[in-house]
Amino acid sequence: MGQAQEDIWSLIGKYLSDELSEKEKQKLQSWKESKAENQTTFDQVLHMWEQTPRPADDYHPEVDKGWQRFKFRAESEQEYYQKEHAENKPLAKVVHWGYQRIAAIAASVVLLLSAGTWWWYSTGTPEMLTLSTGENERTTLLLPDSSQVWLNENSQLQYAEEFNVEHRLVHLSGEAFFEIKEAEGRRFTIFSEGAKTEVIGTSFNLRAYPDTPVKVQVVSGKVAFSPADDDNAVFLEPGYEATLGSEKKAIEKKEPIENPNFRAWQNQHIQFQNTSLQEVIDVLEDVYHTDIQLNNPDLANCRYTATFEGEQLQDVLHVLSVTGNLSFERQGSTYMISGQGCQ
Amino acid sequence: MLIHQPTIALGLLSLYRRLGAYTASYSKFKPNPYYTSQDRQDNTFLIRLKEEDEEKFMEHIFRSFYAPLCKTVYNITHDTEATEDIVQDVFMKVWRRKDQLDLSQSVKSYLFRSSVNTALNYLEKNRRNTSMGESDVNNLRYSNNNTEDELRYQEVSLHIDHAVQALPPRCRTVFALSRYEEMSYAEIADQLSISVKAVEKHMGKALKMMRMHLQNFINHST
Repeated sequence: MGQAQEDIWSLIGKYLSDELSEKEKQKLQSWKESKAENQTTFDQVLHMWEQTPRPADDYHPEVDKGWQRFKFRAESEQEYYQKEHAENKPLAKVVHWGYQRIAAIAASVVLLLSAGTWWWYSTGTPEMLTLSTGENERTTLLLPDSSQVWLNENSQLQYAEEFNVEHRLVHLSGEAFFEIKEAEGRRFTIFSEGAKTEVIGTSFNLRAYPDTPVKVQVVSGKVAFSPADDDNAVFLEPGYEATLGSEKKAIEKKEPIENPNFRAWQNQHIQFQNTSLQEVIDVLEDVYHTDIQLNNPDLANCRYTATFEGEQLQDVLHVLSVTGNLSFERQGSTYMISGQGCQ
Repeated sequence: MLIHQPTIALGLLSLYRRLGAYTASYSKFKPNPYYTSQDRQDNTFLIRLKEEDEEKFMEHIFRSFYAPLCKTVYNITHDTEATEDIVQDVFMKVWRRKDQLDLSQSVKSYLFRSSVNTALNYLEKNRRNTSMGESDVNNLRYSNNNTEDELRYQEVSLHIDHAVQALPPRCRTVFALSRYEEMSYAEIADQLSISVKAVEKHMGKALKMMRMHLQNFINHST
């Protein structure tokens, strides 16, 4: 291909875009006439140009959906910045690989080794990392974007090895509490048992065990919750929850969070408000992974009002026994509670 | 204009010949009035709206330009999800810098330029090998009421589309702006901050590569 040939292609291009000067028109004309082959080439390119399909012809962007998504992003970001300013912290711009961060990652790796199982998944690309917990196991994990995940028992979290700030996507089966770091307005997406949860920077609990409705409960920030294959999201504010029914078709309506102890498994903050001892025991068994028995069935009717913040089970039971006129003793892995009982 | 009948009918041409029924008559393009660098609009309304209510201003420009920007970007990327992410990012940038927004300039031109350049960066970042796969050909909509010609036509379009996707990012962007947005070389040069000479070169290279790509397809299919 000589210089002249290169020029010819530019000339054909200019012809198609109507950019030729008189002089160039003549140049192109004499090139076409010099060889039959040239004329053919020219005709082929002309046809190719005409027949180039117009990609956007059957693409109709949905303005309303786009606007919803934009508003959600803009509001989340604004809240985040206002919060940051209010706390007088510098704006988090990029993730710094400081000592603290490396220490945090090292800590989380140690945690991983001590709790939960960790293995490489090598079926097909991309490589997936999987973290799972068994019966009575919990673990926490710091993702590469500094977002933190608490994984409850019998759960599994998966994400691509190349997880990064620009592409934040994980899969969950089971229950987890997320504290997602805002990263330049980029979405963080969680797929779980047919539900899609999208956030920018927020914290929330997501319960998605197989064959049960998927439930999301928001603590801070904004969350968009929808069926996995659909963008008709329900937008949730802090203090609200929403459920995706077992049909996986549509989000059932959002309402204020009913259960005050929805994240007690993660932070050990427990609240009892005139709660029967039976319910108290259910919550404690769940949070502390233990077995609690009542000596006297009438005890189940007794009611308690109390708040605990991260206390040991021993201390919780001690407080209950002082206020509620009952006693407890430990027998192996089981706690026995005895007392008068209530009508 | 009349298309000169070639004396030697090469495969590609005779193939197109059979598709005569589907070939649009060739007409010279008029410059597209939609986006031009000389675009001067009266921004008094926007300036007032922005002063009164920033969110209403944002919604107004979003609803006015989201769809046309998506179409333009899609012509470059051929990927709906990437397209919508790119256009969202462009509006986010405007929102973040709304205090520095210069409304004496055309908002439309700014959004357009920003979208095209973001799309180009996306292509440069995500260079994939696009070669024609068996599955693509099998994915053609075979149905009983498709005539053979129609199928051939679809196949040709598909191959041309692949040829476009196989172009290097800059050639592909220049091609899309010229072919679909019908912009002049001067406008394209201005949008991409390159010289008109460079636009000519990219365009020539695009045509040459596309023809080679299609030549291979013809040789394989005959």
